[in-house]
Amino acid sequence: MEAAALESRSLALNQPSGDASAGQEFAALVESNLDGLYGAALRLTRTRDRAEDLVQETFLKAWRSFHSFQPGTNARAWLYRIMMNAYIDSYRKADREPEIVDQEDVEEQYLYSRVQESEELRRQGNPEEITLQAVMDADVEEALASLPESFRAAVILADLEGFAYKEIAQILGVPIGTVMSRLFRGRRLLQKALWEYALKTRRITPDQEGSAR
Amino acid sequence: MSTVHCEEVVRLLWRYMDRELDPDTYRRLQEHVRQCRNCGPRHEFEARLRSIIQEKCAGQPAPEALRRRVMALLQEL
Repeated sequence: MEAAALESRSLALNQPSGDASAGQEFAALVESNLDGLYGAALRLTRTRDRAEDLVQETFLKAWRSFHSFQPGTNARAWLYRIMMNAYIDSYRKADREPEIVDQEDVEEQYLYSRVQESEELRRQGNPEEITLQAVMDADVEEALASLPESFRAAVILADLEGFAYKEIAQILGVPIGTVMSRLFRGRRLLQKALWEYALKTRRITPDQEGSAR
Repeated sequence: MSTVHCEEVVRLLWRYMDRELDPDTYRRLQEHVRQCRNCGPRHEFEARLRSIIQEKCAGQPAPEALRRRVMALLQEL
């Protein structure tokens, strides 16, 4: 998306009613959602330039369909939906990831399970504290960025943006069951990445079966 | 009121934390999590982990240049 091309376009021409109060309402919407949308866009696109373009495109698209927006409905979810659609349309093409079908049967609360079964951690005492400290030191943003896109989107919307399952279903245009499966899988993969980080930094060493007994 | 088994907590903990359970199931789990020596620590760990993740991935304000770009668009309204 060319920023210059966008800037030269007059919004007034694209907005059916063009009345001033709609403009003011929309400006207020921009003001209260700009930071939030940018944060989510950054997590989605993983680069600042693309996040900025995505946010600008989102507001442009939102303005064009603002006349059909029902006052009193969830404006924030509406904007996120426009952003997700714009993201899927323009950005996913440029950065196509193989659709990862993770058939691995990972249990819920992956990290907690690893912590519980680690002999090494138990020997050090207070396994939970040691692990959470390792997560504090970990590059959590990088771990999040490593998730396949559809799982990442669900985690961003639920855990960082605080949307309810029903809202996420509307934003992503998928059934609630799909939201849950993507979200839970995303969380498990994130926890797995954090566990691997903790192992790598040697704060937690893998159990050595032979010498440990 | 039926009792809750720990396996049920393992399975429903995220939905519980997300407040996405029906009120009755939520109350039953809450009761159990408060008392159970297995599920209490599991819940606490998961809650602390989530808040660390939120803290470390906290959004940053939009760059000033973007704010200006978007506001410039709006001025043409």
